[in-house]
Amino acid sequence: MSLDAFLDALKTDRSLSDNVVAWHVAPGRNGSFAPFPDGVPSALRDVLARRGIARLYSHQAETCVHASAGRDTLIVTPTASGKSLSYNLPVLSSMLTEDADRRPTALYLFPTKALSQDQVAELHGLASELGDAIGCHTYDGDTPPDERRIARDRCDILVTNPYMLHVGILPNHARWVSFFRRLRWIVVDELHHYKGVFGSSVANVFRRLVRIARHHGGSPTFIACSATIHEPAAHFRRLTGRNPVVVDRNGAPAAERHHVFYNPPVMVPALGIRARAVDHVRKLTRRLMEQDVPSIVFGRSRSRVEVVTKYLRDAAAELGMPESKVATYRGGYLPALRREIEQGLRGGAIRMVAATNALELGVDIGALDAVVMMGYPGTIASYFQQAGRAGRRSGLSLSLLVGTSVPLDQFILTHPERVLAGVSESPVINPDNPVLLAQHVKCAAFELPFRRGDGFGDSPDAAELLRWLASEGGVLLERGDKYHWMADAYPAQDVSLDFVDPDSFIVLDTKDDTSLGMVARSDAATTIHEHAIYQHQGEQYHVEKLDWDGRRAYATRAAVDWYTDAETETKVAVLTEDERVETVAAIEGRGDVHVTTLATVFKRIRFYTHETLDSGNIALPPEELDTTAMWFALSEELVMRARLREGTRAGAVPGIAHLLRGLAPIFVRCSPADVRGFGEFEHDHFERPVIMLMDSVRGGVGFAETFFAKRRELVLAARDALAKCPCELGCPSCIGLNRGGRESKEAAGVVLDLLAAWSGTVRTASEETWEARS
Amino acid sequence: MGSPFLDRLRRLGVAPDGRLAAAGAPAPRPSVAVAAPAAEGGAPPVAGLEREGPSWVLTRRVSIYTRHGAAPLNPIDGLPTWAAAASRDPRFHDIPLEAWRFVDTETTSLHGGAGVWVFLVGIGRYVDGEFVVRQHLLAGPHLESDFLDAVRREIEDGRALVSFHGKSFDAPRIDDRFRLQGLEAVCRGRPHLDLIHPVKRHARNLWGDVRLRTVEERWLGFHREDDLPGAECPAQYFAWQRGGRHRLAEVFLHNHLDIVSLAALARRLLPVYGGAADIGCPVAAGMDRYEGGDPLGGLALMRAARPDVRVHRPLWVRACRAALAAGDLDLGRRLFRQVEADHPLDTGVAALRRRIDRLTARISQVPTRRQLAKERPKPHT
Ligand SMILES: [Zn+2]
Repeated sequence: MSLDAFLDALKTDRSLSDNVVAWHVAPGRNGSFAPFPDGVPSALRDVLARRGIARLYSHQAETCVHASAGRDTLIVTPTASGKSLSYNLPVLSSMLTEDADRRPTALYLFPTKALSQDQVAELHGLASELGDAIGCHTYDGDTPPDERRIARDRCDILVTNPYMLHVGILPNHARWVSFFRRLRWIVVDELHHYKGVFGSSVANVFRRLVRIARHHGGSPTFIACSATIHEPAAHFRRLTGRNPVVVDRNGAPAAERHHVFYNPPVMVPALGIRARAVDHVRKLTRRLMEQDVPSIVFGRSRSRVEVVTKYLRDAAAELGMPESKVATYRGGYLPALRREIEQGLRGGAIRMVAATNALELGVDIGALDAVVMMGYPGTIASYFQQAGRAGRRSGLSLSLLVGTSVPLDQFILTHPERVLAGVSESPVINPDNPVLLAQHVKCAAFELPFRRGDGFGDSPDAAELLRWLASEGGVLLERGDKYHWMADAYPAQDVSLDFVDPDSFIVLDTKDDTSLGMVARSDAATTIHEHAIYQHQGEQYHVEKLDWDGRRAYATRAAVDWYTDAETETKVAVLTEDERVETVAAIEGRGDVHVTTLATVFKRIRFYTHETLDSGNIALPPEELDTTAMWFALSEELVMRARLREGTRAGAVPGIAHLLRGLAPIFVRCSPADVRGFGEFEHDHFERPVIMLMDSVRGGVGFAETFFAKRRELVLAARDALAKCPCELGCPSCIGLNRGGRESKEAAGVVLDLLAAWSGTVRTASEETWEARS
Repeated sequence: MGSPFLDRLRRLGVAPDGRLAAAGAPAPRPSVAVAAPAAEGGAPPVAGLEREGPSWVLTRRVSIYTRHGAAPLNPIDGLPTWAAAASRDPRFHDIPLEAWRFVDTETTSLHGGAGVWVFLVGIGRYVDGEFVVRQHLLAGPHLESDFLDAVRREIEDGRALVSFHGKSFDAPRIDDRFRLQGLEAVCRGRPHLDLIHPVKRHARNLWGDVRLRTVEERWLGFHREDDLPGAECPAQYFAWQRGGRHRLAEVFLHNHLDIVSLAALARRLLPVYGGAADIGCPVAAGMDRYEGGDPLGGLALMRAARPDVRVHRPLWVRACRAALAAGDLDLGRRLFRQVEADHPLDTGVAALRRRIDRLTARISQVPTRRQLAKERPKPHT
């Protein structure tokens, strides 16, 4: 087999094998099967039999039994384990066993339209083979008005997304009475996708959904699917307010899979600069092509994928292969084109595909033997989703991660066990963020009056909030024993699921005025000031103009080899200390803070070498933010031991904040923009040096609480990352640039050692699991 | 007061209307006192408002011999036949004028959605030489089911609805309220003449808008003075509900005048349909008739149209097709020339051109350009 030859080369060819930092073989596994449970009607069995499904994987049968008994069920299995059949089975079975007018209905929710395409195609296929009896409709922004009416009037299965549910369906539930009256199923796919502000908002949308369903007499059961994440049941509970039965024994067979982590060599030791990942990907894919191994290369951005595609085509030409054997695949491709690529792969006409991460979810392009990742895809869940693209049911497959020099990649390459344990970061949400809660209680009150004493999901603050909204100048009116909506507005329209602050900035492409993305106001001054380089889906855009009052930025695509970094003057006032643990090393705590940030200057910094090219001033108003934070306020004893008052060693304090923030995505599912780091040597509140991690969202969505609970893990990971960073003077992968050089890097090491040694008098369950795994 | 949650809420800048203050500027501290209850048990908010069971009703009578602006109100023969044509609903043939219910509502928002209250439903009808308008007021959000009962009785007492823009606005909103209370909808399925459609057909090209205000001024000679704009009505209701100063009486008047205008407008549009009118568009009237079940009458009206009427493209295209289908090539050509002059590049117009060419060719037996092109020998490839 050709993949064997490639693996041999990877083991024996020094030019490759020297860069392999980890090699893990996940053994193959036979499937575990089960017969159809009794409740599955023969009509459905027949349709499945025609598709070659005569028996089920054990987890499919298990899910069907639990869900059919009315238990909320959470399926936690890897990619390509047949999870959509797991939820379609109980849903369709229940529909086939009731008369049309009493037939249960189901709401299928996918985080975005793109993630639903294949599941919906499969569902439509099943529904139509079962006869016209079951009406399955997609209801989203692209659904034309006529079809919307049909969906409302006779819909058994409604496929939609949280945005549509929030702004279109729930506020108009009077038009969906017959659907909600019969609502028995809420199917939530990609549960791990619901994180941060979005997840916290959706948790509130679920509170509203269940309220409306109950009002009309429906009593829905949740079935959710998740990638393998840390504490999945807890996430399910935070999101839905219910305790699920967890089905996590995967019955699907798997082939043997090799996970190889590959780190390009260090070229400039002082600054820790490594060879470019793309050059090594070029080398490796060429070998794969020589061996004719059907493969896919994932890149983080479209432009990188374009570069790789070019390399692949060049290699094909050199090897005398037709160029048509190489295909590119991007999000947004039409089904016909996708099928063409799939067929090409199956028939052997296509042997190499280069793809952006857009392909990661919800799309099945057939079986390949090797996956090459150019850069760590950001989360463990994504890693396994991409790795899952390779591997037929038998034989062996390869997942090859080629690291880039960003801190997260380097941490992962030096700690492969974190990934290979297969347990992804916990998504963090906080449905009870007061701002989000107020917005969604408003929406809920619009939808249906609250009775005095009614709760809102499991929120402890609903009663108080309702009184507040009914106070003078409020939107509610208390009459009889209820709070009634009494305002001229459509509140859902003003409530974003993605942002707490409604007045976010929109970034427009100067080329055609299309929207590139949104930036929270609190990040605007540092990320989209004039002349900033704005990163969007891995592409770089130069901000030409920022219209502060109009909340708009205009940016032009720019292929530059530098990025911008804004410096800020930040003041953090501590408002409450909700938790406080004092150790010899530090006061460890968390609470509410008020942050004032003034962006002062920005620097242009060259990629790879990190040299500062030049700098400019930023003249924008200061940004105010009320949020939650966790902190270490260092003790005098620690300051003395680490000699922080000497020379430039105080630079260790902001340096550690930088490092902790960079490592945050290892512990929770978040992006760098979700969390801010702050370090100050003389902080007013504690009168000590303070290292802080803050939630970057007004009111916080739970990061501070989570980091506080995991603070010991964080410190250990930071100590480790610092020790393993090959730089001498401090670099973006560790304490950042220009933070005092060798001295402060050394001091940072001492501080982290002492924090680790003395901290953590309070131990938490999550720490123990971390220790067990590491 | 002093609760940690409310303190946090204020600090985060959340106001009692749920709006967010700019970051760093905490919301003003409002008093947590709830406004005094509205006058549900006390004096009526509007003079003349009376209790009918649990519901508040204001009744006004207008003699049918008065004029609404310049427009007469007295019923004339032929209204049901016209209504059947104008609404494309033959059930109107059998519904006498006395069983029509002229409906207009005031709601707490122009947005849709479950949180929008229908707080005033005015219903007018002809009774014994009078046009009687009864306006039902929602005395408080907690009293909605009684209110809806009264509205249902009023509507079900008649057999058809007449409104302006009510098919897509008032009726669905009324029905939504019934559904939200777990009750059967009352408007859906009922014969409903929405006057906005004939007005659109006749007037769209004349004025550029089809608001009831414009129709009143142009066709009814009725001018409102100091009328409360519709957009300000919700605020008056909220003010009353919260025990504040309000101008609810003006909301009632506004609603009343809308309903009288409905009756006057129906009366005014009928002669248009008969072909004997000083207003409106004969082609639109002809199509009303044609599509309403009287094709010959419709074509006759269109033939009588003067050549200088303003052209409305979609209507003209439809009318032209109708004429051609009926075999009236002359009328078809005439309508076509009018629409072609204004819209030479439109695809619908181009399709008509081909069809007329074809019909002309068939009559004169002269081959068309297309046929000639077909017969030309093709070069071999
Ligand atoms: Zn470093």
